[in-house]
Amino acid sequence: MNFLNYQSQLKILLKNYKSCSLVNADGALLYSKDNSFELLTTTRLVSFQIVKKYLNPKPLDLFILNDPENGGYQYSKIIFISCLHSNLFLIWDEDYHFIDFKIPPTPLFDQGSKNEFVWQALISANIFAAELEAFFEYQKYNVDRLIRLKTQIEAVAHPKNQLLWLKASQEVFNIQFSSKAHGSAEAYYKFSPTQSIKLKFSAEERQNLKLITLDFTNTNLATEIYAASHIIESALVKKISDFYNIGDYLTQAVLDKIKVILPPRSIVSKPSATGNFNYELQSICSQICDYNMTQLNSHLRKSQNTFDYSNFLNFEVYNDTFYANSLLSTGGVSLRNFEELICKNLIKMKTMKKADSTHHIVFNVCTNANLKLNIKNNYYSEKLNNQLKLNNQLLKRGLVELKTDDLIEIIWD
Amino acid sequence: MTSTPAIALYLGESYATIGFFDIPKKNSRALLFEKSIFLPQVSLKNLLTQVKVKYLEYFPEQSEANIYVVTKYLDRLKQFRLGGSISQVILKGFENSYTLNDSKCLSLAATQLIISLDKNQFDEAQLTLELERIKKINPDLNKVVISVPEEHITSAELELLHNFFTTAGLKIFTCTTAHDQSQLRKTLLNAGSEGTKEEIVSELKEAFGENSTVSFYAKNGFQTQFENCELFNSTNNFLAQFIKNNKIEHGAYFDVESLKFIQQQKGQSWQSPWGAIPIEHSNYFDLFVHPFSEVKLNHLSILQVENGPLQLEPGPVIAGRAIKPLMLDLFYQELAENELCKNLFSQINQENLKQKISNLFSVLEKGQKNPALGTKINDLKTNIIDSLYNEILFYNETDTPVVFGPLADVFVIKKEAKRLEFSWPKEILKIAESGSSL
Repeated sequence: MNFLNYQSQLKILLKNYKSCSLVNADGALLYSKDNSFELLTTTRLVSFQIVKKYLNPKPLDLFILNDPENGGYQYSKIIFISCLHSNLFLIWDEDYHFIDFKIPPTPLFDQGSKNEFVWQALISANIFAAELEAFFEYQKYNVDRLIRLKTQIEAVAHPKNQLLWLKASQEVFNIQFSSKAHGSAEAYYKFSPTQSIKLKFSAEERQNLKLITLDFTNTNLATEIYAASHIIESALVKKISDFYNIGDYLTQAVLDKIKVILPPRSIVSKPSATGNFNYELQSICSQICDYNMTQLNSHLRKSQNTFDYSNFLNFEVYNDTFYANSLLSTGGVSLRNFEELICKNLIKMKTMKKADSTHHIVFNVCTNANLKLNIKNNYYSEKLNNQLKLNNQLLKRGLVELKTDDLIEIIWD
Repeated sequence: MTSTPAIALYLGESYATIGFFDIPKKNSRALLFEKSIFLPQVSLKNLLTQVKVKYLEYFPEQSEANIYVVTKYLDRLKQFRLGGSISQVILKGFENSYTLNDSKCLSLAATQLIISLDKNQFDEAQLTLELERIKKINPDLNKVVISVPEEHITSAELELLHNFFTTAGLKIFTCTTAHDQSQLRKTLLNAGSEGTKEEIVSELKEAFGENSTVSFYAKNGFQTQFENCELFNSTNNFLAQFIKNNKIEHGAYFDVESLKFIQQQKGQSWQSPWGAIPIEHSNYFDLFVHPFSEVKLNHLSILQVENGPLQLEPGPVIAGRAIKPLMLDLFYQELAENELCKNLFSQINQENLKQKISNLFSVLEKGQKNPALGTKINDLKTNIIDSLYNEILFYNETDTPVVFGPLADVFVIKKEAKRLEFSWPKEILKIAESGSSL
């Protein structure tokens, strides 16, 4: 097997997963992809280490967790850890919005058999038992399809093949590292009078040692919003992988070349109990990192003097049986499941248009919809016209219960 | 059983295969003639002209035929924004509403061609002014999509709209559930693909007689009446019917323009390049490599097959004109023995073409800068063959996958695979005669 065969095997095996990581028994990353809004590469690695340390995974075991203070991202994002082979573990994440409680690392299947105790306590007792059971069974079905491909799994798990793959990815990193500028750049973002994030990016080669350092020194201590270090690292790793065009070759050989310095208990290193600020902080840190790398590699040095944060609006509308997550940003608008809200007569549209670059959405809440609206980030800026209003009152981050005939207006430029 | 001659056409994105049958003779289904062409080099019109000459030799008196079409031709539209000749009549405040589900999708209507109506406040004079405005933007505008919620329009006003646009010579497409954005996308797509479908129908009728019946394989089998958007899944639905007729759940299909795994299972919403469209269709998975993907040195100087396909024109080097080698060209020796390819690519066995392909790959092989990341052309071929088989096994629920299609023998060499005979004209006629649909 050469590196190309290994790469093809990985891509085929993991084709059906949107966001996942593959590691060996030592926890070395072999492959990772993040195709959701939220980025979880290092979060998945932390989850694996926790399960490995406390639950000693065996082949055909399947574990889940979602605790943001203990390796998770947020309650609704379920992280699965599966042992495909004694030297191969798959970690992936899936959204399930009706889970709003903490799940510590839990064995769902023990060596292929349902853990009846856990099943009873976690699933059967839940008001959405049937849906939840179908959701977990489907995840198990998908991973069983992989395990069935014994020859391919054996090949990917073989230490010799893994070494060859890691060596190839190291080679790729070396090429890409050398193709970009060396040096450092720094920027900060102040999102309240007392809260700011400072990030210094440096890419240096000393005595043949290539190293990317991301230094958050002088970032404020956490008071308003904050996230666990693995949440921030996941965003940075993805940004670096994209900027250096590493693609499929994001492995442990690349992670070992990235050093992240995070002051303890700071905005970027304190887990929040619910993970509410994770996506927002990932977005801020990604953008600062991107700004630094662009500045460093720009032919016109100091082309953009100050970091300008490109904000977004992320809100969810839901009730006991329905969930819609919506995102409006400079990159585009994605009102996922919003059309279902209309078709199910939970809301009545008054306006829904895009004229030039402005999106204007107005709707009424219908009778008995029992909807809740949760604005997940601090989208508001006095400089911009972007706003979300409830009955003509500007709403900021937070949860509101909607009543019949409430009027919501969203303007996004 | 009809005594009208039957013509079977597979009209793909890049190639077409046509055949006609000896239907008038009782109990006979002999394939009298079959021809395949590579569309970037020979147009459909040209093919039909050639076929007509043969057809008249067999059926000199016939002025009509039953023509059965399975198509992938509309996939050509998938990379384009549509709606350049379509106006959209919509309630004020709902301009471009269908795009908000995912603004990254391709657009289906031009903003400048929207006619937005105030609730209950429009008349013929206003419509005339608006039509004049949009006709100035596009004088060739010939279709209109009317999408106004029932509660905001009276039947008299709706009639006024219909009469006005009919008189103006515009073809009308009505979205009956205007509040449902996915239905609006569907109606816009029906309008946006009307021209392509009409072009196919008119060319067929021109060749085989205006009274000919043209049936497309749509959602419910071969039909003359259907929604245009059903044609985007014509081939997949047909292949799913084929595997059903062979009493299997799924199979892998191989030809010069697609390698895919087909299931009988159906999906209700199609994730099109223009957004989600509510339409029942057979599930399928494109296999990891596309026959029209370029083989090149990537940014890391690694020899690889690109992810997506190149445009159809000029096609692979084996077609004679191209200079960028595609995945298909890697298999030029095997394809030179393949019946379909010998028909499509007349130069495939020419020595100078073989030499040209060999040289192109040799340049690529030698252009790899880093020996640690180097790959031989033969290793790349082996990797493709192995990976395709692994992928089929991944989708398959047993260890004995079923493979079929004109290029199945080229891409699947493992003996464990079960092979099904497949010929486009024969299968089209078989399914058309059985009148079956999934």
